[in-house]
Amino acid sequence: MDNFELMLVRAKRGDTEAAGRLFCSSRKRLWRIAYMVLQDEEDAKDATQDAFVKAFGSLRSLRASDQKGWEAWLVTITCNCAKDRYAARAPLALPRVDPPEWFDDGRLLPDAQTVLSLRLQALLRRLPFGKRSAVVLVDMYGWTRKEAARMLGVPQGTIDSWICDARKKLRQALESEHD
Amino acid sequence: MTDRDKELGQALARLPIPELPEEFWEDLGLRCEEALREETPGTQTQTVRALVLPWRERAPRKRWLAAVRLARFSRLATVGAITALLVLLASLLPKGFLQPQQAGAAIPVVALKPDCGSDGNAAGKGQRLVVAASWDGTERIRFLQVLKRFQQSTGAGVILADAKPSRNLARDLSARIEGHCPPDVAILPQPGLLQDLARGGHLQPIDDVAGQPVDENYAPIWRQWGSFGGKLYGVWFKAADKSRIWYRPEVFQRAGVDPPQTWDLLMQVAAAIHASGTIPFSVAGGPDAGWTLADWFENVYLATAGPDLYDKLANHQIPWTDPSVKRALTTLAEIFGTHGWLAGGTQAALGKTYENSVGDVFGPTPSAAMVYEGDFVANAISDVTKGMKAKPAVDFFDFPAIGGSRPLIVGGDAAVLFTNNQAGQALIRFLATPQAAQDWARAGGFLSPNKNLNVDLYPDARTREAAQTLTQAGTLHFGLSDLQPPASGATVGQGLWQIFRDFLQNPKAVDATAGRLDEATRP
Repeated sequence: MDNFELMLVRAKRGDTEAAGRLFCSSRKRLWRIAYMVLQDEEDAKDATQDAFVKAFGSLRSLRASDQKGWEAWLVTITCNCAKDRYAARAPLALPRVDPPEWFDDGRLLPDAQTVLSLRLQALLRRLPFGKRSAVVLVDMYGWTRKEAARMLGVPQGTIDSWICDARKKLRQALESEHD
Repeated sequence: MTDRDKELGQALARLPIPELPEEFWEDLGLRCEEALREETPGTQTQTVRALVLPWRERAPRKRWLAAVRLARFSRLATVGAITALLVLLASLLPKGFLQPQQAGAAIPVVALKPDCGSDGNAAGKGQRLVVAASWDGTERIRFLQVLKRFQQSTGAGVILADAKPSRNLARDLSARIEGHCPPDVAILPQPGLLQDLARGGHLQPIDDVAGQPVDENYAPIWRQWGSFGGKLYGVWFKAADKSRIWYRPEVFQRAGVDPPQTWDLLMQVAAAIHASGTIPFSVAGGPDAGWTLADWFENVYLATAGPDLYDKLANHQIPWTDPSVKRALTTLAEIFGTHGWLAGGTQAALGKTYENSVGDVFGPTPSAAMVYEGDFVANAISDVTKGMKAKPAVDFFDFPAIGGSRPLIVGGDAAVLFTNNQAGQALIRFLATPQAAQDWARAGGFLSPNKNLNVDLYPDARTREAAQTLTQAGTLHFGLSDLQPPASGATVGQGLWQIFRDFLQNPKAVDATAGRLDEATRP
């Protein structure tokens, strides 16, 4: 058993020190995923809270014993919690992308990187939840399509088409940069 | 994956993501710890050491790293290395650092009684400290954060003594005292209990320890409530404004009524709400919830009889068979005795916990419009609305005036010292400072009697007002049952609390109830 597995076993037994370490090792990643798929700070905070509390409240039901399994399990819970938050969101207003304050007043010309980010973020926010989640999990975090399908609870074919469509839309941001 | 896809992934990864403050993670860490505690109820060991843990991000302790490196070095060495290390640690460290289940992984542990206080002399680092309190849910978590702040400044390993938060603190404490296992510090919710324990010689006087900060930070009335026989025994860490009625604004709107200022208007509002198809009140009268009924009575009594008679009743200068008591009971019966005004009916009310009564109004399946209790209901609301997607609108109004005067009943929680533990003394001193109160004040559901706490920290204007009243008023009225010795006043299943439960069951029995109250409170 390596370091991580030992920690997981101890956490499952109720050792809060080990559980605390697990928590610290995953918290940033989970927050990023929740924020990326929800694109809204408050909702993402709620989803992160829901996910962690749910995870530690049902830790003993986790079958996986290695780091990868633990992470996949956490991400699955996070995606579910994020989906709930997304569904509960009041009449769906498109979240706005706020450019930095200096963006509009002409004092400073934004660099290409910032322009690209803003453009990409705007496109990302226009994608529906499923497509956004799929592209975040696969293209940003490198999970396989099969794993992403399991995490999001949809058939792999759906993931394939979501990814294909999402990439097509998001590439517009990059392509207008190449022009 | 094509290059363009890779490029897309990289561009996504570069998108800005806000950072969350460390407090967010700490708060969440404590919530996770609670969840884990409930998930593994059989393992007592982790519950008693709730605080020593790294739910915040920091470098792991070096000893831990050493053990891990050794373990990596050879699988065979794992067990041996950890065992050796733990044995070494066990022999080197003060016993507070020997955390039972950590050792449990590899070697049998000498059974430490994990939660007895001790007269430690080495102050500061590594000192072990046992604290008993009856807070649960959100309140427990907030208090853990207070202890954590203390721990960070002193390094003392604080242990919250009760695996399950104590429902009957007076009984649990007396059992511990009999078993020669008192905690170092306890948080008592009643002056009556404090005086009872001081009378029995179980508490350490704290004039030398905290007399100065108490004088600096508190109005004299709070020192008086924390004293017995001219000596100071308790520091009032938390106060409560127990004269609030919490309600759901949309129900009031539907019934076309506004928050009432007087008792008569409250009756009209309740009737209008009832007519609009909602039950007006949820009342908690379960076996553990007699205190909420006593609080109801105290408000009605203070408003109908006035402060002079209230003080006389508290000090046994008039009997409980006095007409003023009967008048208050008759007034209270207007709510308790009206058919259809209590959620679930009288029988359900008699089995209802305080948390459930709050849930009846603000939970996922609301069944009533109003629930009476103190400012701390805010904590219970955050417990009952946990997991709800759309949080309900919440508001409160002051307990209405009856015959011209509006009551303000005060409650509070005082920290007392059982042992000569120096870390315990430091904690008592800390709890008397504004620094101890600031986190909880900011989070809400908390009032501090500390007059030097910056009131701007409170989340809303009315809480600020309440805090100003509590810290500056010359005369305040503590709950009557809380002022009685616990056997006759504030104890689950007996004394005033039980008599008020019986009154809820039969609100017509005004004379009989007054007679029983008189008997129970006779010194």
